[in-house]
Amino acid sequence: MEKKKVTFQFNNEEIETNPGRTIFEACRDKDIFMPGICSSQPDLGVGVIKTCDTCYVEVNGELQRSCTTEVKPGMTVNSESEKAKAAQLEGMSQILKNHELYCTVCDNNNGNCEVHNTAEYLQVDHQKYEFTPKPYPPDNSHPNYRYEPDQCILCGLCVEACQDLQVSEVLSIDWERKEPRVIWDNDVPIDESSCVSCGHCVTVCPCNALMEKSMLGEAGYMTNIPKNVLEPMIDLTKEVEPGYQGIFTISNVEASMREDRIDRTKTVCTYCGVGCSFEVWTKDRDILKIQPQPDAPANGISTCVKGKFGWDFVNSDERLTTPLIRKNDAFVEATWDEALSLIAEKFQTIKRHHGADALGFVASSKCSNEENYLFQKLARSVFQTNNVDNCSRYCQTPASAGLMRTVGIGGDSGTIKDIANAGLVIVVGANPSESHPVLATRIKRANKLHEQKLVVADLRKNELAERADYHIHPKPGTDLVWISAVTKYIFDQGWDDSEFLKNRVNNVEEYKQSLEKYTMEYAEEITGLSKDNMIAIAEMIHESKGTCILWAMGVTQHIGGTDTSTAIANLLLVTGNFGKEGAGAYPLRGHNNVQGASDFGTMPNFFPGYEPVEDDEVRKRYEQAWQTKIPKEPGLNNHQVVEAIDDKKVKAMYLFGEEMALVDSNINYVHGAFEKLEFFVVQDIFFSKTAQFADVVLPAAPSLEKEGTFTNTERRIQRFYKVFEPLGNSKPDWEIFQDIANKCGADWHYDSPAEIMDEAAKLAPAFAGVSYKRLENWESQLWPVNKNGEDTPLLYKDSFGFPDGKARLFPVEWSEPFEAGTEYDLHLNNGRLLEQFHEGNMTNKSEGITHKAPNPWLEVSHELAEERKIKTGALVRLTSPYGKVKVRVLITDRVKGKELYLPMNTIEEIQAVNKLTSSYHDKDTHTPNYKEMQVKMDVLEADGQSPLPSVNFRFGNPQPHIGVEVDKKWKRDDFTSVPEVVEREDIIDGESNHAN
Amino acid sequence: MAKAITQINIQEKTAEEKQQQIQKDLLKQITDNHESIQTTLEIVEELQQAGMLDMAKGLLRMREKIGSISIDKINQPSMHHLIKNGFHAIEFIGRVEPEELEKMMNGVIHGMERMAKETEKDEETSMWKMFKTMRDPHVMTALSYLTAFLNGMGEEMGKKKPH
Repeated sequence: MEKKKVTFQFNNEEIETNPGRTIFEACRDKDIFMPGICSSQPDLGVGVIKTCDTCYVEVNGELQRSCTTEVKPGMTVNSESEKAKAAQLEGMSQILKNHELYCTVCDNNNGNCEVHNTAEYLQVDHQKYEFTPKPYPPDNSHPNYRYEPDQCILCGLCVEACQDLQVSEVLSIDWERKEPRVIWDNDVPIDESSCVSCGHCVTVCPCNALMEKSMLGEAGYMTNIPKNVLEPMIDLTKEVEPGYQGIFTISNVEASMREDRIDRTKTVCTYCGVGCSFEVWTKDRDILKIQPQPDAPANGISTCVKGKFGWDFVNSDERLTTPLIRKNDAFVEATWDEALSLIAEKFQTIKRHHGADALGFVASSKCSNEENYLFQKLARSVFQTNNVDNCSRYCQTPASAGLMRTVGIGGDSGTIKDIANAGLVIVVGANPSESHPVLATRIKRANKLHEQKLVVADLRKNELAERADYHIHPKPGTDLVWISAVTKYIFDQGWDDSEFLKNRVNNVEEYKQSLEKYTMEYAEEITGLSKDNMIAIAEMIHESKGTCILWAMGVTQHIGGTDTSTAIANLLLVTGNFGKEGAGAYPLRGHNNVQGASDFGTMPNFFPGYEPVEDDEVRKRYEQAWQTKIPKEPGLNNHQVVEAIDDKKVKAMYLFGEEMALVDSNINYVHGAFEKLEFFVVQDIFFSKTAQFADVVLPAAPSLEKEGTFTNTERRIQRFYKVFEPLGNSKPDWEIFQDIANKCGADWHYDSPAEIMDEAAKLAPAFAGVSYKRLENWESQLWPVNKNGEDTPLLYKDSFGFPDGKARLFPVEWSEPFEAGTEYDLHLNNGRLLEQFHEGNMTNKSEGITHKAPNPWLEVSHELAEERKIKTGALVRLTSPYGKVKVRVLITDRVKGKELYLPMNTIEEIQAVNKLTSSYHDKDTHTPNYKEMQVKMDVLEADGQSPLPSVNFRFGNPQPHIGVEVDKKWKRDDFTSVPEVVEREDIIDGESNHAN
Repeated sequence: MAKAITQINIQEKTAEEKQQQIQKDLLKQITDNHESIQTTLEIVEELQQAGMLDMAKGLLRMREKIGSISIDKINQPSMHHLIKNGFHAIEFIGRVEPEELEKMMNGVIHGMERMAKETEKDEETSMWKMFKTMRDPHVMTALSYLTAFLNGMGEEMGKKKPH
């Protein structure tokens, strides 16, 4: 229902706005510039900070902050009266007491400095209050950013971002001391604090107080002047300054000159599935900084440590820059022509002798949609095999399969906004704070500020569990049981959404009957949870306006992974939590393009857009377009390919951008299979563990060196642009595929990825309206996309993904998890961590990240440590039926009892968790059961150096509070409000109170 | 049957090969731009003869020290005055109406010419002659402008300083 608009008088015009808007917002909506440094970050909100005092206006004659004053009908607002201007100027003058304007020699003089631009706008001419340095040295302790108290204007944007957007709750302003400043934790050096290095504070800083170290001395033409010259120069400028306006002219010229040498290119992050997009600022091949923008659809101004500071790998000396061919137990450099000719010859010979299905193709979820499309086209049209798969087989295929069974579409139901707006978020077997950090910030913010309820079901007390209203700890692999018990309880209480079930869901009665066995008693016995816990969750779902369930590998990487995913979708259907805002199912995709790789057809049973290869009509469409014959039978998935290599059925394999030799389960077995291959091509940006088994290694170009699109966990397709030329002789993956196809006689002529997307859009109805034109800059599209470009942020509003438009409740049975045997007495959990991505071969090239988290570590509970008499730093050997690892111990209360946690951030086999995992798998999709393993532990050294350095955020001491606490500023003895100053000093020319 | 291997034989270019490549690239650039390079060389020759290059070399090599010395020298009260006065002078000129300035400057120049003629004369000026001159309409005009100017200047100088 639309509310009536409100009209008010602003200067000489009438402005219409929505009720509830503040004056500042109403002006911004109309593109009227209003000064307001502390309202310059829309993600933080307007008027929440109230520290800068530059947005004063006269409201019916009284001075008011425009950022907090709500528009009322008929209100008269003047922002240009002498009084309003005097107030704005006074606000700015108070800021400049804390900030020296030496813009031309400042690295932040890039046209977007809020302090510079506001001072210029307000025509500040002189320093009204003398600047005095603060008694604190700059804090340069953090490897990636610095804090310079002398330049800090105490606006608190950084504090707000840390406390209420990122919600790591590290930063505060200490208003109580004589000279207030920003402090980290309880005032420790930044590096020793609980700072997670996400970069929010640096991004929002309106001046140069918080800056990326990579910018310092690099951005400006004159910013690298030595200190003994710079300081007198600043003094001189201050001494002789003819008024700031002249200085602004010079700094504006200098800022424009910088545009010539600093490129700003939009990219999409190459790490997790959240799909953050931001600008990369570069000077030649140097990355100056990552600059997020409010327009970015998934993340706004948010980043995590990897997106903000994890890009050094692009210029690493270890990059592959030339093709390599195996000759006599060594790799030798080769030309592209030699390498491609050899590949074409070998693949064609093997196909001739053993058939097309003797070839296997493994695609990359790190690479673009266009590259995945072209790779499956290469496999299917040039080599006539469906043996093509991607790494979602290791993580999320069960989630997609569970959704396809019930609601018909294997993707998130809505967007991150829906998660943020939900009444209740339930996280099952996922650790978003570390694996999907920016998405997690939205949950933490909603929980902290907007009364969103949070339930976490996880073995570990991860950060979200710590914050949750309820953290439940079911026995490993039993989620299906408690979820089904909660669903049954909801039916029993009559809390099911019967109207929704009647109109929109099939198979209700049969499903309801299948729930009979999931009584509370049965669930208590199997899961170890208490009845009260489960009932409480059912009540929360019942009472909430909308529930989102988020899940990841803790659910999928089990023998019953698909069934548990199905149980989640069932619960959401029963409670009517599909097809409405702030509700739905959200499998959290792990890689930047794990969604897109599957979407664009690197799957053995699907063409792009999840159309079955077995469907004659669909196949015909592709055969006609590609002028080729495509086999009807689905091909082998990753798991089956390894088995087939072991059985000598698959003889050659082409793999790109996938570290299968470390991330597949039971890697001893996988290595054995690789050794049996007759011919193996590995394409990567680094010489990976997998590449060691190759016959030909091809050097690929990462996302910053090419164009393309990625699809994030929301189904959002976003474009990334080329920042650099490919390093050395490396090439974008799509160009390599085209070259190989043409070597084999295909006649492909793609000039750019845009043409590949056009072809995919023509063939796959789900992407009919996707085009590069519609994806320019910050634009994005969420599939399915109609031909006219209309996309689908929220699925199932009108119908589900089945021919009759109705969802299906799908009965599932619990599968008992794998047991290794009684001698293996400890449960082994495993997964990611915040700082390093996956096994870490990209992020470990960033010194700052490695400084914070150099090694994997084994999390051991206090109870177990006591029992085994070990301390943090102890060296232990873990043994499973499949292999052994040797790692150092970290004792923590994140794990309980006999449960261990080993993150996967290593490229050393001896520490690699997949030496221990088995080849058992989800019975429906063949996703390995990584999360079902038990081990025994031998103590090699009872004590030693901690594997996690003391500068890691996990040892910090956060100081939670809401925002910047401006009240404390106002209570200071030396604080005088701007209206008071204006009144007292009678500084309004021509309006002073004279009798004549 | 391929075991994992890590040996990569990189065909490193020898130092000589690298140098040859650079020479080749440079030569090409020189031939492509030979005209501008020849002119540049001529300029460089002149600079060398004039001793400018030696001076520049010294300045560049000692840039940090010199930078620090000269900025210290500049950062002194007398220099502050010079720079400030410079700014004021420029500001002053900027504020004067061009037509008025032109009129005045013409007057000054004309007056100076007359003054030059006057100094050439070798006779003493009597008080009587002075008074007589003052009755000259041209002199009267100049004097009345001058008194108007003094009036305005006095008014501005008599204003109290703002807060």
